[in-house]
Amino acid sequence: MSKLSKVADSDLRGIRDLDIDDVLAYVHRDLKRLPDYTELYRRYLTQRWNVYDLDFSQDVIDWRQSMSEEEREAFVGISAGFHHGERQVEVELPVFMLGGSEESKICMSSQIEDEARHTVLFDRFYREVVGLPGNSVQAVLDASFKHVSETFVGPFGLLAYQADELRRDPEDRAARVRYGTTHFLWIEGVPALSVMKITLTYCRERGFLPGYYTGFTATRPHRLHRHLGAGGAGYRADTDLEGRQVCGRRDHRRPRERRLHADGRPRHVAEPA
Amino acid sequence: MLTAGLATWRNLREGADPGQAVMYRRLRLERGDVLAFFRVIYFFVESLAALSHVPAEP
Repeated sequence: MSKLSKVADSDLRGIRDLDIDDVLAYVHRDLKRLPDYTELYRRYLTQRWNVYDLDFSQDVIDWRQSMSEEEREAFVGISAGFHHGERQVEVELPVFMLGGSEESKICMSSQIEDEARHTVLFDRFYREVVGLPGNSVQAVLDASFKHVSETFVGPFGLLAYQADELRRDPEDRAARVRYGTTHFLWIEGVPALSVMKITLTYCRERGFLPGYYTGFTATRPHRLHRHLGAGGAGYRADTDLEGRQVCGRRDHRRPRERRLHADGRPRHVAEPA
Repeated sequence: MLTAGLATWRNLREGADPGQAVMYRRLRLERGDVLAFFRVIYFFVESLAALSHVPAEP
């Protein structure tokens, strides 16, 4: 079985042995051809995993006995962004699901469930391993917010307000493109990838936190493969607007052939004498 | 124009994190451009945090 096949077919136990760089290679391979919504939903049904199957017992030992205070502080600072980020994309995505095709709605419903499961993953990690206080999901979120970098307020706050903008008209294509740019292209494609790579490489190289490594690695084919794929498919559909308003600005680019004379000669080239 | 419920303003006055209030959309942008608002979002959040340190009676 090739490395990339292992990424596609591994269950939770197998995911623990995957290298995060192989997961990224798998994601990049398929993003080049952007699968459609139905194919993405099929993959959701076969790749889904149970967040309550994760075992954090070794993580607790590593956290308390093996990691230094400096390592714990840095780790919480980085992963707190994901704790809130997962919650944020979970609660803002339903508005986006209201628009688009029926296939898109089915696919988005699976992404919302993914994000909810990832929120539970971080909730379990913060309660069971880090030991944050709180007897509800919100209480644990409140306890971890002080560790969130202020820079997260930019993209995730923007997402919240763009979702509110979209709520007024879920079929507004320009608003969908604005929302999709923040969610799928920026949040999923840039900070999510970077932070994932940092924390998972740390876990693998130090041999720490196997429960976190397994759970977070399991979110990767979902997030990066299907979520970026769904975002790409939606982006492609929403921006298919030649001559119409895109992102609130008129697209002034004209098709190349309009700049030509009927005989194919560029307009800036004078007619032959 | 931003609006919020009484509980949100009270929490902010008592030191709640303005960044979380923005991320959780507890402040609503009733009028104005979202992108223009977010061009100055860090200044806004820091300003709100500074204001919460000013003693004020309800």
